[in-house]
Amino acid sequence: MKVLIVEDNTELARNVNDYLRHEGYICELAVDLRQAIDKISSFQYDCIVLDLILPDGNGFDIVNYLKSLRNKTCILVVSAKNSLEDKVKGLELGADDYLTKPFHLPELNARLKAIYRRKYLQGDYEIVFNEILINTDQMEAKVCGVLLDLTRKEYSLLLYFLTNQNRVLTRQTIAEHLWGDYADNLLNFDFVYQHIKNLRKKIVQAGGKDYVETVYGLGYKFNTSSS
Amino acid sequence: MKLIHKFTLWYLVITFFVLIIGGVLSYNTVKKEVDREQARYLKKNIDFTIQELNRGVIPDSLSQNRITIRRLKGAVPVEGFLVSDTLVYHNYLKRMEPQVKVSTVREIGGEYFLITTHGAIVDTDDIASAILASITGIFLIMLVVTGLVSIVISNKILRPFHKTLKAMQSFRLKQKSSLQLRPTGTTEFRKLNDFLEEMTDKARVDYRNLKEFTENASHEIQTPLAIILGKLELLMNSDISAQQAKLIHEAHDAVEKLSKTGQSLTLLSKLNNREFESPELIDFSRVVEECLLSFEELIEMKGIRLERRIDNGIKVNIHPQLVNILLNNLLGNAIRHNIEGGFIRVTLTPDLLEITNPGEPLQGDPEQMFQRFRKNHPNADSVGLGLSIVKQICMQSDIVIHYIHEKGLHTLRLRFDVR
Repeated sequence: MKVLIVEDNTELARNVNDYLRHEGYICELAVDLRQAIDKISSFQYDCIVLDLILPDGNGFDIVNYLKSLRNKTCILVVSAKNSLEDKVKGLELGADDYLTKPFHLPELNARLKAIYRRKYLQGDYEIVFNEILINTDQMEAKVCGVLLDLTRKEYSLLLYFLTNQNRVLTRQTIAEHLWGDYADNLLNFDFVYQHIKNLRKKIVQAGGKDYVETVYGLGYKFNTSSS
Repeated sequence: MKLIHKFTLWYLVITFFVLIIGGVLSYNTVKKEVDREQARYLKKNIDFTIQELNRGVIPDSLSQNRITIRRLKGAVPVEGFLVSDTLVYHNYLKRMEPQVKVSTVREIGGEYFLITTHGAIVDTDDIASAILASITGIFLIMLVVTGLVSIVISNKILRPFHKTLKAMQSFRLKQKSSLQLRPTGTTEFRKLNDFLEEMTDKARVDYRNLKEFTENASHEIQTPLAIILGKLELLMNSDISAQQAKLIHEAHDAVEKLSKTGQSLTLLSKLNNREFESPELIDFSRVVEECLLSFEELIEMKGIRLERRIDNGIKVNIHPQLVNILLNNLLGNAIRHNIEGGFIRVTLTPDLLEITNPGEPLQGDPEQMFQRFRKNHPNADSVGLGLSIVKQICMQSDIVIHYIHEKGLHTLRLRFDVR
């Protein structure tokens, strides 16, 4: 997947770049509106990570520009403005998703993959890892061909793990992914632990390997190299 | 009551009293004049009678109905006339009438005579009724003229004032152009307009400055926080010891909290700056149901029982974005500060929303609960701005909020329809 990161803050851009490159994406950077337009007109990207506030203009101009080109590139808007107006405006103009700063890198990755699947693969997509298979269209998961009886949250959790393989995911990050803004009211993250415990049990019962490992003091990791 | 109506009414009341006083004054003046004229006429009659007496006419033949001549015994040296008032029976009116009486004493042919006469050209009653009639007429004319004049004044002289009022009513802090008021020739109105233009300009600039500040503060704080968060997440995935992992995790949590605090403070500033104008009539029942639905899982996970009594179709005038923040904060609190195996009772009636949950008694003054960074537990994970935000939203949406603590139950009661 080829991604253009439009972000005037080079440090933040580098974070995103580092994380995504590790996922095997090809990333390019644009630090302002002019550079972004330049790159978009010369190259084809699958996804654009777009900051709204740029030194020489508003990120919405890029969304409009892509629209005028009838370009089908996925757009993930990243903004420090946690305002519903901007969110609605962005989505109306044709952005595919909206993420508020500060964001978790695994979350950004999951969102990018989700919009990519939705747009290019029409949602009908199977993610296969060894004996685990997820059908994102049916929203179901199989292990060794056995359909898992997962709750919605457990399904989201498994998908989140598979999109962020070999990455440490903190309980906070997982909670925010599963419960969004409501995660603040959880008080503690025992619920995350509960969901993970159930998921692991269901996978193992179906004959799968337990890939989810606890990273002491931090959270969890879907370890592909675990034996 | 309109300004012009007040003016008119006061003017008419004052005119009324002035006319009454004027009526009394003119009655007295006219009466005095008429009486003097009457006295002169009567004196002339007496002079004529004296002449006749001097010519030797018999007094009795001169004593007609108005003149009485009485022969006095002994000498009474009197010169001139004596004018006084008297009451005379009026034949037509069948009652006593005040009339003027003139009397004199004269020596004619060595004898003294008392000659008295009385009369009235115009009856006192007639004067009074004439004056009353004319004053009533004047008052009626005044009434009509004042009414017409007030309409004209209201349309002409007060026009700039009404224009200013209209402009002020449609003025919004958010508008881009400054308030434009039409020039006027009236000094007071010109001063008022100048003042208003100055004030609204200042208010607009203040509003914009604060709005820009909150936007910038949000952007300039959240971006570095995003960098820190990202770096910590990248660091997590590198080769680290358990000790380092713990440190990273603690830093990660602190950054999250800082970011949430920043967002809440920005929201509060926006609320204080009244950036959420234009409330809409919202189907409150539906929003409450939706909010409960999104909290359902959390409530279930915490083993809390939900009791709801929600009336249908209740409408509240509130900004659509604020209503969600309000309910999320209230329900979030009810979940967070609940007890093991507790419950949440949500009651919605046409004029109030009540959210009750059992919980630890509050430490400190309940009044201070709505203040910023006020927490029941100093080390609690929450930011401590939730209820300040709730309070602000209520204030802007004309909702009165009360906190009640009874028998281990916390209740937040919101009353709508206070207008």
